[in-house]
Amino acid sequence: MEILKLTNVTKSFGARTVVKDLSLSVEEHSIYGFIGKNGAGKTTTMKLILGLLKPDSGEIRVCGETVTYGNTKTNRFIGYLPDVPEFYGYMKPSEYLELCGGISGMEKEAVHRRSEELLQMVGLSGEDRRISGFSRGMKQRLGIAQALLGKPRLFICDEPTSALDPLGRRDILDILKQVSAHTTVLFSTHVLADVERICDHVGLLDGGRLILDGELERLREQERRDSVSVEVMPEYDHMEELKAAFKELPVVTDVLLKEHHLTVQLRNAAGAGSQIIKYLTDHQVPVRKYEVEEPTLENLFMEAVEE
Amino acid sequence: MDTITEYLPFLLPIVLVELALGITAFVHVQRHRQYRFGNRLLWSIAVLILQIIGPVIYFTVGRGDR
Amino acid sequence: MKPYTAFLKKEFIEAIRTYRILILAAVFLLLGMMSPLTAKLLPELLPSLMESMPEGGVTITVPDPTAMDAYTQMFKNLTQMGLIVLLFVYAGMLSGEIGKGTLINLLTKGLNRNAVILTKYFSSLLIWTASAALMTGVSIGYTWVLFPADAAVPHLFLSVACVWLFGAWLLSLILFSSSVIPGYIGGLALPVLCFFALMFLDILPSFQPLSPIRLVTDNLALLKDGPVFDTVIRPLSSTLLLTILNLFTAAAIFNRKPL
Repeated sequence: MEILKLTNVTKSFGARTVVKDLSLSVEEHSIYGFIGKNGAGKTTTMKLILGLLKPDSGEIRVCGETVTYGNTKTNRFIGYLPDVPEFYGYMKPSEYLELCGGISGMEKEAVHRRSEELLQMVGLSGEDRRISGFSRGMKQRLGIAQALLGKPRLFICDEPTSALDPLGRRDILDILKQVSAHTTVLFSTHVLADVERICDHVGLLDGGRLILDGELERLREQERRDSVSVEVMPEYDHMEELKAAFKELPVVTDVLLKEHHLTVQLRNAAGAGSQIIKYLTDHQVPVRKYEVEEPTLENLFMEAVEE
Repeated sequence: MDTITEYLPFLLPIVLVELALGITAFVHVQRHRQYRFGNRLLWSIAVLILQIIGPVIYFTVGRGDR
Repeated sequence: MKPYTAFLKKEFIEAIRTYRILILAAVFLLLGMMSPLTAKLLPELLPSLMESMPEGGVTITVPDPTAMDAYTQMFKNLTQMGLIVLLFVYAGMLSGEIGKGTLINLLTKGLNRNAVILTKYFSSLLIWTASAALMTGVSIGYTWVLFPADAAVPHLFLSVACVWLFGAWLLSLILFSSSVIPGYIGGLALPVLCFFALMFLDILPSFQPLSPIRLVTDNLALLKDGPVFDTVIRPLSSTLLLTILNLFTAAAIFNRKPL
């Protein structure tokens, strides 16, 4: 089921169009990575989904209901973590969660139970300091806890890992992965590694447009070069013969030789690869490295942006 | 002098409340590093010397958020 | 109701931990004690000050102070220092949250924007009411002991109620102001501007009897002469109307404000 659907959404601030005719949909139970450079329109898109901004045109639906600007009813399905979560510095984390629970109309008992559970999950249980003394990472964790309080069906986080050190970043990503077992996660980032680490779906936003969108695995599959690279020990000196022999194989389309490194283009890397390996073992070629070349996200994105 | 001793029971609570306000502000100034403007020395003096007004200005506009 | 009570509770935690209640309680308690005492001590201190002057010889006869002098001091303090402190303490009640973005989270959780305005108004009004009551109560007590001969002053509560309504109007104006103009200054801008505008407009004979300013300038006349129906009812009703109008406008603007 589609939990979030944007249809031809456009938003401008004055003369500057930040989101251009954007359409995208997020399936339930996925982790959707929303990626783009700073200023690509990620935060604006999220604010539109939350009804904090009014779109100039287009429609946004959350769990099948249309999002309205102002008092946004669809927000009952959504948990939101802003890019820089701001809390009341004079409150303790448990007090803040109590406030959030009260505002979303939860029973006091339920709030209490859920708070304990969530603070435990994000690693803030027993933290009795006021929020004003919290580090960036701790605020981010509290932000996740408050967003998940009402067991939302869609969890939106805006740049949850930016401005965190590598360790803090890993922790937050691990928590997001954990969260995705129960709820759909949509998160924005400008760091590719974050997406590669936990996402199954990805959308690339550039200049307010979605220029690449889909399941991460499928995108990789589409772009797969169907090639293997073979590196041979330097003492082996029959490279030209090896190249010629590979060219003879029916599954091979092209071979590139560079010193002791061969790049072999195949019709189908997964199936045909075994023939290459068989040849290498049969002729006792001293192989140093054999690998099926994976297209990196970076390459995919660079190509998409250039198009 | 006579006047002061005569009205001491009325003056004392005033002095005590002023003192409590000043000391609360003074302690707050010492325990926090950031102010919206000014520095620790300025605020330390202001909240103790300027009765009532010093602490009020400190808590309303001078106090930092964190 | 739950969102309202949760947000109201937050407002009170905020009032305590950001020292709002401490300041207001201390200031209004002090003003309440100081007013009658100043009235009592000023005439006694004045001659001794005169004597210390080198060019002595001027003899001033100071009449014995009365309870009315005590309340003169009280209204002077309440309408000047008291209202200014109230304004400063509450000027940031909405703009602080808009500026820092602390409301966004709660609004996305379904908190109604009208509830934000109303709850903030209600909590600040409650604390203002308590402050004014504290000051008046303490003043009455001190006056009772210091001026036992004529301590009872008629129309005191009506006169205080006038100042109270003026304060209530001021609080609504802070909310209106900070929904339009950003920053702590935003909370101060309209109240200060309106105050000077009212002072200026006070020269117009047609406007004067309706002006909210009457509520904080005619207090002593009210104590001395008693209420004349028109002079009290007109500014009271106009100010009440303006207060309600301010709240409606504040809510309407705040509802359309991108955060």
